[in-house]
Amino acid sequence: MVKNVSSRATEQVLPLVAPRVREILKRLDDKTWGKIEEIRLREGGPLQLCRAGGELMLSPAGEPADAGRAYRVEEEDITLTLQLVSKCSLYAFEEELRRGYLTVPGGHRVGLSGKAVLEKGYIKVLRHLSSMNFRIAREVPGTAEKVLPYLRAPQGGGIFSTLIISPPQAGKTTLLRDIVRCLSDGVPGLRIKPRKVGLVDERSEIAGCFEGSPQLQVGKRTDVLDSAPKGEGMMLLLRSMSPEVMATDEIGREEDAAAVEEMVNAGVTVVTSAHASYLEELYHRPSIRRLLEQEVFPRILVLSRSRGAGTIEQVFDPVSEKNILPRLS
Amino acid sequence: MFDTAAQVAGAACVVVAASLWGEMKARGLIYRLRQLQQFHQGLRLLDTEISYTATPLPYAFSRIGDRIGGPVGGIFLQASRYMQEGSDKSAREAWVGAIDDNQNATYFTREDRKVMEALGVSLGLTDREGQLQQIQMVSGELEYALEEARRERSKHERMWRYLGVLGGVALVIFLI
Repeated sequence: MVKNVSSRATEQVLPLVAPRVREILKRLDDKTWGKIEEIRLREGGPLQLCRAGGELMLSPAGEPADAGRAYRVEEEDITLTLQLVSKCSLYAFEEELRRGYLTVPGGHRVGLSGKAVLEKGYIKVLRHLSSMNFRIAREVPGTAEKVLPYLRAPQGGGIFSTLIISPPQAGKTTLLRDIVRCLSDGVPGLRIKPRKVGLVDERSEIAGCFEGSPQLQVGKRTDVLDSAPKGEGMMLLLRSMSPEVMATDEIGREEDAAAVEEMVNAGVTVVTSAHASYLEELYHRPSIRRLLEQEVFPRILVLSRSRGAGTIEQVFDPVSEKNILPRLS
Repeated sequence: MFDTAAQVAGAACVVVAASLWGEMKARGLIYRLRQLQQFHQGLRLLDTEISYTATPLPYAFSRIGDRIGGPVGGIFLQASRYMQEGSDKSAREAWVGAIDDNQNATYFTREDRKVMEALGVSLGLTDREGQLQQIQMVSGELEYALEEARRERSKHERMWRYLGVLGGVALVIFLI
């Protein structure tokens, strides 16, 4: 299973990387590939890979090396990679150049950095691109199964609105995606019936849409609104798709919180996430604090990397103010 | 003057061959102008594809190639094929490669080819504004090439035809 996932990612990502770098990456074995989270190319910098256990730099022969002996990425490598990623047409990705990343088939994301060109104080486009970061999208179906029993309301078979919090790179999006998939498809074994789900994917990270169609599994009954601002997007989907569950990630702005309130008032279950390492941190953010005080989220999932990405630390019930996850021995 | 029928036939052959050669030279001038005009049309279409719909180059080029047809359309089609996945070519390599591949079918001079190759410089590497500027620039240089091709044609088209016929006649006289 893991091998399939990693070899698929290899097949999808490698053709988009400049041939010289590709030859080096091809020498990696499947096991190493399976753990890679990022491939970083910087003009004049060493070829760097990031994985769960830390970074890895590669020599021109594909061997682990220190920064001094690692393969040095040249301007030509960046240029050719850009051409391969954009089908020789960077101009067709202006919106993406403004946001700083684009999504490729398979839902992987390519982050870009260079010189920002401003218009009226806002970034209009990026030019002279000098850094690229391939973020490998990994679906881990089954991650949600551990928490789903806690999200089910004791009576009526409903689902509690849920907020997932964690520090960066601890598996928030992966868990959110799998919860969305499970709610959309239904899990008979856990007595969860299929539901209509609306998914607002502002940064194309949850469904990994490429040209509007989801590349990652988000369920059969999920309508994805890609690249839309969360607040406005939720309102649009509420009107247009009448979802039973609304999902989005990284809420934080005032308008996001207002839209979440609106959803809950309309009887829609909200599943979302926010950046925070601890529960207390949430109370420092006024918009989220307001949602918590209104008891919008009967369940808060706290994740960490303590036993690998996606470790579930707590399933917090704000009403009883208790962690309802049984302690592991 | 002519001793035998064979000599008449031979002389006729020389004159016809020389006239054909002159005709070919004259046609070369006409075809060059026509092909430059087709390339100019291709640039205008590319400008539209990029500014209105931001069509990615492989699709834009194949559409332009179909529309223009002939050897110049062939260059666009070939470049489009080179840009498809798996070839690992940059847009510039694809474009220059396609021009080289079609060299025998086109009547462009070396200077014409240089103007055309200039389109490849930043092809696909900049935002929309940058692409349109590049097209504008090549278009400007192409105007000169077109002007020159027109002048060349009006000056030399008839010359090559006369030269062919008269050259053939002169050769016949010389041989006799």
